[in-house]
Amino acid sequence: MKKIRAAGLLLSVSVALTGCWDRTEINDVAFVIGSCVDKEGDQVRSTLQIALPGSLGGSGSEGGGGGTAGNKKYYLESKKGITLRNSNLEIQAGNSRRLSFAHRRTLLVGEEFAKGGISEMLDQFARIPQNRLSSLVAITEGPAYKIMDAAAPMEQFPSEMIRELMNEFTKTPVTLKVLANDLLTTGVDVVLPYISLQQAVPDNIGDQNEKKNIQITGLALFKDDRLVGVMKGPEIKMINLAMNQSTTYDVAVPSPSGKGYITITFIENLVTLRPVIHGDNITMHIDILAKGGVIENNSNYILGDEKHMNRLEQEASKEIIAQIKTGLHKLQDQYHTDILGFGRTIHQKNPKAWDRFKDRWDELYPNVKVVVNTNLHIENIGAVNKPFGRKDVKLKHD
Amino acid sequence: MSKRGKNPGSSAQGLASGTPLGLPSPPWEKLEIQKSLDQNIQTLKTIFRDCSDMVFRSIEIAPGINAFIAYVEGIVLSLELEGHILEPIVEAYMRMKNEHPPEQIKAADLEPLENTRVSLPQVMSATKWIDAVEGILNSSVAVFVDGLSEAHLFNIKGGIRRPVQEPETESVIRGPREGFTEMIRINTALVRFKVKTPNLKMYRMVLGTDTKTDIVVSYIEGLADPKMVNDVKNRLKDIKIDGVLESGYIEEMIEDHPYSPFPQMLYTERPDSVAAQLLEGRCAIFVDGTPLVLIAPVTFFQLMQANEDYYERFFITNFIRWIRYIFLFIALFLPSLYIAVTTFHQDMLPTTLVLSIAAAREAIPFPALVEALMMEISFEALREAGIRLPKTVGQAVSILGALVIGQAAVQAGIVSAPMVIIVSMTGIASFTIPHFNLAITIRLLRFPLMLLAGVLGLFGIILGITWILVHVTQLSSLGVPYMSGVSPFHGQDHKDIFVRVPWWKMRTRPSWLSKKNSEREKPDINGNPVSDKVW
Repeated sequence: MKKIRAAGLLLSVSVALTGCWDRTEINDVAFVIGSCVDKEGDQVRSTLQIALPGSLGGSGSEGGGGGTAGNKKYYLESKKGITLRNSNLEIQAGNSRRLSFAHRRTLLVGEEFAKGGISEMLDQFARIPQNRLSSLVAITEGPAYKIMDAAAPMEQFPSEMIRELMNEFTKTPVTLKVLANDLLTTGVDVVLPYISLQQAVPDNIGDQNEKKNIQITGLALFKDDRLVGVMKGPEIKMINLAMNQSTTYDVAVPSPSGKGYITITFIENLVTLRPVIHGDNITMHIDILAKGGVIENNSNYILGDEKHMNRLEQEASKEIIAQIKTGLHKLQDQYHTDILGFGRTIHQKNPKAWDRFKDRWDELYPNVKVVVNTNLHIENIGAVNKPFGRKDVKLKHD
Repeated sequence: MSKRGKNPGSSAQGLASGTPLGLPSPPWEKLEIQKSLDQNIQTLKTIFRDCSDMVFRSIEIAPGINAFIAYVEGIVLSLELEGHILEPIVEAYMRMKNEHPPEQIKAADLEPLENTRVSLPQVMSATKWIDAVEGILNSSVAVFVDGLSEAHLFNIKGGIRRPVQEPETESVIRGPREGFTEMIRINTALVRFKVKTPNLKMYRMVLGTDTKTDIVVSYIEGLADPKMVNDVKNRLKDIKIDGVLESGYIEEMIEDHPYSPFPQMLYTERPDSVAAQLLEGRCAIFVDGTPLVLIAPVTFFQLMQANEDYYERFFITNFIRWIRYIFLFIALFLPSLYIAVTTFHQDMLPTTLVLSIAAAREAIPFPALVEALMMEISFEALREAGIRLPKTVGQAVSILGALVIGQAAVQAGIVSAPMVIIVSMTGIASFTIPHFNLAITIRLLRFPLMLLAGVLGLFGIILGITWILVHVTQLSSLGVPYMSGVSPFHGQDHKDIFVRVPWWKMRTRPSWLSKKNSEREKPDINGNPVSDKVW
């Protein structure tokens, strides 16, 4: 019995000897909260946004807290390498703390890099479990690291701001996982948010550095894994809607009474695709079901009664259908990318037909006819039913 | 963790001898009381030499008849001495003197004296010195009469003891306010007030060669498992010790697993708790001189229940019981989880949380494990100081503790603010456990878990949990499995483990206690619960 106890004690000592091999105190970890991938010649430039806990204002950190760069709560570190991992290792070589990628919020990919194809960089994200596949991915106008260093006064970090923007923009934000899934699925092309800097205020106000704002300005369209074009303008909202990705969207409808606009916001929507196939003639029905309310009426149109509401719903439908058609026209004829997943829909709903189409889908896609069916309900016209602040004589009854 | 051997048989021998263990028996042990009063006085004064609390008094109880009185001052009701003892004796001897010459007064004449004249409940006579001495030490007044080879012992137990007061360690909002005192007879009476059945047995024994402490094993015959009751009695009889000053002495001596950190008995100073436990078929062990009564067997879940659980309405009870279980886990695991997550698994926390912890820890010189150990140990020290301190300085220490540990340490950058939150959460959590002996166990187990977490991270915590669970499931209390109800599983006993069903559904006693007589409540004539009646 004594011998067993002695052996047990010795064994328990060995536990303490082997332990701690992967122990890292939280203040020996550099938390990467955003990263950028850019192309530079033959090499890959990786830029990491690393949080500076010392300047995040924790108690007791006033006195200590490492080298802080100005007032910023993060700093950027950028290195080149033959692969993405290599350039990250270069960054690690110049960093006193261990890089941890588990908290990366966003991954920005530069336009130039994306044109060369994005699939080869994805491996390093999935191979090491520490790299979460939940990072959000976006394409940037110009080099990505410029966006990463833009002012984001509302949030602690630009990467956090981009993440919030993307969460607002689509129902299912494109994470690395979603991206890989879309890349591997037949019959759908990848689409990513396109981020650029926008003038926040006119030139003559304020500090020059604070003037640029991060904004989602378009949709980056992919064919396979290569960026083929960027769609901008008002249609992107409606294409987003057609993809059933829109969270809320607003439509400014020209007033039936002539002058001014009535703005409707749709807070609930459900979009389904329904293919109708006759031989090689494919018609895609896009059924839109949406509920919403009026948020602005700067015309003299009275919204009070049912007849007027029906008229307004019709006008809104027209507007939505027109914009979707414009957008789809560009996608089908100009970029030839099937980001709505027409192919995937056929594959799922009519697998036999898809077997016939799949080899020549690129030829068939531009000729797919699109019918948009809308079912809009404007349920709420707000707190006032007559235009507010106008004298009754000017109000229009038709 | 070896089980304590149970060998019945050897009874409480040698306890009657008045010597401390290890000393040779005194010369007077086998002596008898003599007829000569002078000789008796001589012996008595030799036995009680240098005992300044002894009172010796010579009186003439009848003309020509001398007597000698001896008692210990302070432990007898000296007010009753005159009226209840001396007067009847004097009267009796005067009468006897008138009837017989003093030489004829014999031992046989004493009995009517005890029975008729002295209006005291406990009157005895002793012929041996050893009995006389024991009687004197047990609050009796000894009267030696010249010419009699006997001592009359009149028990007038008295002296000042604490009255029945509200229990300080187990206060309730709803429930009786009385608590046990240091006097065993008051304590047994408090239980007898509540359980009025002759089946409530109070088996008395005496433990401790020097303290001769009264022990009472109480149980309800027919409800408590007779084997278990015998087991308790036999284990108690096996104890040979010089003194028993608190129930803790015998708790450690009779528990099943003396090397387990988990308490296998429950102690309480509330008569209502004891009554409730007896009604479920358990044993209670009263020890003279302490207000804490031991209850066995217990299960782990019982230590998580407060007596108020049964007095408050069941919705509230259930809510509070769940809160208690949640906080049990917090008390046990929170510091180790914090250590594991901040030193091994930073990926597990939400980004904003990890960044704010990182910000708070930025200037802290110690690793999280050292920081946590430092804080937890100083919290334990503060708690201990708070108990031991004279009440007048208590406030000063609590202010000092709050300022030093709470604020100054954070501002000086020695510990981080999250750590202070963790420690205070853990501290509060450990006080939600209703029984202090379990709470202190949980607090103790926290430290090895913290070390494991600091060495192996979450893996270490899982190792710790596994060890605790394995240990707890093989524990037993008086042969009853410690996790009864859950392991081994008894479906019907879940009415009072994690939930407490309303009283009108509490039909049976715990199945692991009373196997034969388990029904404790009858539905009404139609078989409906009482509460379904429309009054």
